[in-house]
Amino acid sequence: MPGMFIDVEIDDSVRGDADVAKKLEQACPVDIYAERDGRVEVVEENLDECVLCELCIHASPEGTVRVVKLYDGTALG
Amino acid sequence: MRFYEYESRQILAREGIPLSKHGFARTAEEAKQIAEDIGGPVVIKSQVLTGGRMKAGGVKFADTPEEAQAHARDILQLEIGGHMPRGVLVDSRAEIKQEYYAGVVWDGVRKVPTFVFSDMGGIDIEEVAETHPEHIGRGHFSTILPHMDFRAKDAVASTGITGTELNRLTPILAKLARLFVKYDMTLAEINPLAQLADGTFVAVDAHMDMENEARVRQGPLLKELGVGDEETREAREPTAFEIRGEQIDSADHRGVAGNVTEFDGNLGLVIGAGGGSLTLFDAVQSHGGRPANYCEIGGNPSVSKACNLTKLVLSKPGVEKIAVMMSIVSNTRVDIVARGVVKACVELGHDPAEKIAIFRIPGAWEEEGFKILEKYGVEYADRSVSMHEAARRAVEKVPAGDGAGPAGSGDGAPPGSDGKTAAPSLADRTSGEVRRCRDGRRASDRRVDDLHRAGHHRPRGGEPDARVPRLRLEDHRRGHAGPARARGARRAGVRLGRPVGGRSGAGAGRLGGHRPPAFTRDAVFEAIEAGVRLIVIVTERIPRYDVAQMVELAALRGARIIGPNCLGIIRPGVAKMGGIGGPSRRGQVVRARAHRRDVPQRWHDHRDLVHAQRRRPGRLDRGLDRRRRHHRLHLRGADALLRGRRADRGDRDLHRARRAHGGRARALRERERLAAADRRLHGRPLHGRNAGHVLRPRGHDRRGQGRHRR
Ligand code: SF4
Repeated sequence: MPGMFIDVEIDDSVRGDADVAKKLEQACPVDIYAERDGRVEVVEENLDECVLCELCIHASPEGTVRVVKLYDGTALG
Repeated sequence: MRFYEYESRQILAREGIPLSKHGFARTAEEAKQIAEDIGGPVVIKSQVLTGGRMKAGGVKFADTPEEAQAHARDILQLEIGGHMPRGVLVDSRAEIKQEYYAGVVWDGVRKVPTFVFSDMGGIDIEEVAETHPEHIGRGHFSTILPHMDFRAKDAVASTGITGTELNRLTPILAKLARLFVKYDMTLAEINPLAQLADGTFVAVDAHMDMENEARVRQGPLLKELGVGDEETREAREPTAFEIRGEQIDSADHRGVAGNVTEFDGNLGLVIGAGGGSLTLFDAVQSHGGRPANYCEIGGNPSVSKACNLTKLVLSKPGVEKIAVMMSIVSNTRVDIVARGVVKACVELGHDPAEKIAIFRIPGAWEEEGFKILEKYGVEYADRSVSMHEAARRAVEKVPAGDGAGPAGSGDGAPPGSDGKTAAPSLADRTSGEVRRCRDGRRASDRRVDDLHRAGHHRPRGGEPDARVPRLRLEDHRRGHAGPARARGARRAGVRLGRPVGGRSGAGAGRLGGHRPPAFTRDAVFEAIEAGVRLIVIVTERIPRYDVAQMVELAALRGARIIGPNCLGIIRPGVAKMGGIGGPSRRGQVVRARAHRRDVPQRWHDHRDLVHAQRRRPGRLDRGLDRRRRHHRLHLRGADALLRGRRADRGDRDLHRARRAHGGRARALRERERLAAADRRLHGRPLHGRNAGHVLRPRGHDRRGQGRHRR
């Protein structure tokens, strides 16, 4: 189930990057990212738990991950 | 949680305290069999978790097994204080020479356990304390030092008991103290402790209360006694609604969203934060509102937890609207709670603007929260609106009822609750006829007590979450502590993190951390032993025994503990520790999961501060000044704590003199030791550089330090 308040956008260039996937999985405090078979996977049921900490944005190459606040249309990253 | 008498006796037996011959029976036939086994007159006692058994006819005497059977049959049918008996205890009726009282309780002021002993047993100990205080012996004992029986002996002896009796009573009281700490009791008493005709002592009745917070670690004992996880052992059984609330709270370790108590109104409450729940509950009532429930939310629950709690409240029959309110200022993130409650409304098919009467949570990330509420058209208020005003606005939006229960229920009982577990209606609570508490008072009089209990003494249940991350302590003294300290900390599952205070050292020796209750004690012990001198503990629901141990160790080591169960401390604009909201330049020291969301913010703040400092010249000097100032403040705080005033020159001189004297005394002792050795070996003391040379390894000077050339 997609998030009601939060969405994350991951650039295709890093989706298949195992290193980035691992970093994202470790960085996110609410387990929104998971590394599966070397790919980044978004755990949809956790999306609304996002605490807007930006750790995922810092953990990934610049401009590859965006955290979208669906309630006001703005985004982090 | 309270134990039945037969369970208390089992606990006493485990610790080797002598008991009168007895047995527990669930049927009259079993009671007869036990009476036959005992042989002779017996007492049949109802096993209920309430006092006043004798008065209510729950204690009867029997001379024959047949009589015992008949009495047991009657007692098993007898309701006492709203409780049906679990069974009967068949106890031998021994000839008693004298009755004594032996008990162990917590001294809330000293924060240590204390013995209470009296040679006037069999009656209320409070009564004895009032009328015959000279017949009561007391004595504290340590929670961290090895148990010393002489303290129990002191307590007994202070009532004037001597000789054989003293020697026989001492081990009983000492064992009672041991079981008190071993099983996390809040009360362990034997009353009466009877002296039989042959001079021996046996426990004839026992009463034990265990700390709810310790239920998990006392699992083996509870299992052995057959106490199920679902048994709350409280004044009344929890309703299905309350049990569900408990499940929601324990399903997710992040924050609190539970402690639900069911009422019969039409305004659902999602309330909380630092005592705010009680205030808000009262505020709703004072404006004529009828709360459908009490609950607690705070400590940054997850969105799903807030959502599930809201869903539970909304789905309670009769609830027309909900009010989401919190205390004055909270560290709970507003946007997270807003997401939770809005999501619950939407998922249940309600319009959040319709269902949420008011949303008033001033606190962290409120702008973000308000954006969400605005989007869904929910009325919200910030801190400029008082709690009372918010409650009034909420009450205004809910249609007034007849006060006898939710619309359509008629009988005042909440629809949907089954007959057995239905919450008492407001009418029931105030009529004085239907529900009375175990102490005989009307349930309505006890409501607030119940609420407090609901808030603080409900078992969390469930296994500890293995995913709970290890604590990372930010010890600002790490630079001085060295790797050994860090290694020691790591052994205990604690990690010392990098100083967040930068190199200035401000905040040296202070520690803050968030730790699940079960592990807080170990973390605090480790911190104290690592030399941390100020420890802020925000964790709640730590068993009392653990708290006592922490406080005692801190006193021994000269450390200071603030908390547990506190929001933290702050010096606005300078530093803060714990979860308290407010501006600070450094000091947030948490990486526990529930609080992670606050850390990045602090991190960013700190990074900005470091950048700002880099741009300014002379920051190291300022850092040193600050460090001195902090040190002075720290000392001043310690003085205030120890002496009730600031230390003056006299104190300081005394301190210096003591230190100097200590040094001289050490030197004298050393000289005497060497002279004694010389006398032993040479028959006389040697002088000069030869003194005590045999004690020193070759090549060491006379202090035994370092090599020197001869
Ligand atoms: S902003 Fe934080 S919580 Fe949100 S997805 Fe990124 S790492 Fe996870």
